[in-house]
Amino acid sequence: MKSDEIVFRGTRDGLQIMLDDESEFDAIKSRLVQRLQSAEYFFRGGDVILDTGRRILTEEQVMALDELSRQHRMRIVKIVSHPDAPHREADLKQHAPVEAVPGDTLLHRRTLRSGQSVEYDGNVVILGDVNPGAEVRAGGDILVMGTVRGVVHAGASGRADAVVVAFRLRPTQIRIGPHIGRPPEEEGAGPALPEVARVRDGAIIVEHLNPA
Amino acid sequence: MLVGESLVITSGKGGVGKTTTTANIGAALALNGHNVVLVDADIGLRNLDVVMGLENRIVYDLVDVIEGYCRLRQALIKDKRIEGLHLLPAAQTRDKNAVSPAQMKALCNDLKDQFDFVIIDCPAGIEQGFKNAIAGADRAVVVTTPEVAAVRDADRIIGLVEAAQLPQPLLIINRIRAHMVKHGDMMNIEDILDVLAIGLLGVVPEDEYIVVSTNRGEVAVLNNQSRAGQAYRNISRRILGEEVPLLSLEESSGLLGRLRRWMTGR
Repeated sequence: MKSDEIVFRGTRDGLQIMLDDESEFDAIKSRLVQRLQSAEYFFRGGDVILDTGRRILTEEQVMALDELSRQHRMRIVKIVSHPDAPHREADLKQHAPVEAVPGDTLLHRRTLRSGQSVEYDGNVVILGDVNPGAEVRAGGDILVMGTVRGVVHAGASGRADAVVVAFRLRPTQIRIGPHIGRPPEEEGAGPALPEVARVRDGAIIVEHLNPA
Repeated sequence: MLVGESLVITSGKGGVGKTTTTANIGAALALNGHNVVLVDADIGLRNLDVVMGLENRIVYDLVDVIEGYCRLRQALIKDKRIEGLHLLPAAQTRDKNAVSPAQMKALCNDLKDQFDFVIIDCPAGIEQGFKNAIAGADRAVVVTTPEVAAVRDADRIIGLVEAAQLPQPLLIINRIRAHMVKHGDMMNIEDILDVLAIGLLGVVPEDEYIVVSTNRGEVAVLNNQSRAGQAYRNISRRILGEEVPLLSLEESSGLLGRLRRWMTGR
């Protein structure tokens, strides 16, 4: 005998609706409607857990089941699946803000001395100085909790919107994306304040760091 | 069995005074009653023996010891003036690759069994000779002069010393000229420490007597009139754990100096 397209089961967490792995989604849907209507009094106002088994539901299919449940004053509060299923615990996707974190950050815990370098695809944070003859290359931003005296290259893979921030910015040379800058030749130590270097109108500019 | 301490005197850049510093610190420690051996690790370009005036006493050298041609005791040369000061000379006819870091380490361990201090004169550069010289050291002393290039190389060396898992090195600033610093024509101590950020072991003033003593094969610490000699005596006392204030960098504070300042209006 062919197994039912859906199975209702009472669990400690509430009513669980298990979807058969083999059945067509439309068959599941119509069977669910049929079952809900026949036993309307029983399910009314309940919280249910949807067990999708090994099946992967598309977003539309989840929405359809959700809509159907609502018509019968039920709420799908959780979606679970078989451990072998490609998407375990595929919680209602549309509720999760899907904003990827742009790149990782590498933390380097000491001063970079002459001849030493740090290279990383993401952002780089240096706890210490970047001395003359040392180099930092980052795909993203560079933050130096100390004095930059060496060469720093932010946005090394071409991102011109990257920035370099340091407690003291006295670089030998500063590069952001495809741009290269060096400090003005005239003597002058510059302000002893945190500064930020960024690209504006095609040139690297340095200004006081003003946290908004 | 005695376990002494081994110090490597290094700088990266040549000509900043590594060999002079090695000879004078070693001599001052020996004058304080310690048993000291100086090791010239500059194989192929030795000159610690010349600076100490011991060149004509060399029979065996460091490479002979390592290759087993002689016993360690046979290669050690006693200083002609200072009791307790010894030299293990470098080979002159070989090069840096005649020795490996592991061999240097074993040699230094043997020396530490016999001496209170093993002081290694490191060659300039960061290649094989440097790696050999630091291999047997417990701690490094970095020598620099108040010049941008020398400070840059010192920074490089400090990074390499740290990478070799040695404790943070100590700094000696050599050949400082007080009047040039005062006029802003020379890097001052704060500028140097700002970049290098390591502990300061001492500051040695520029002193013409170093040229005289080096050419004669003597050490400056034996001359009480030499300000560099005084600085090196202070440095050795700091190595022994004493707290000694830095020398005043005013060139001469005696009557003559005061007269000169009146006359020049400074």
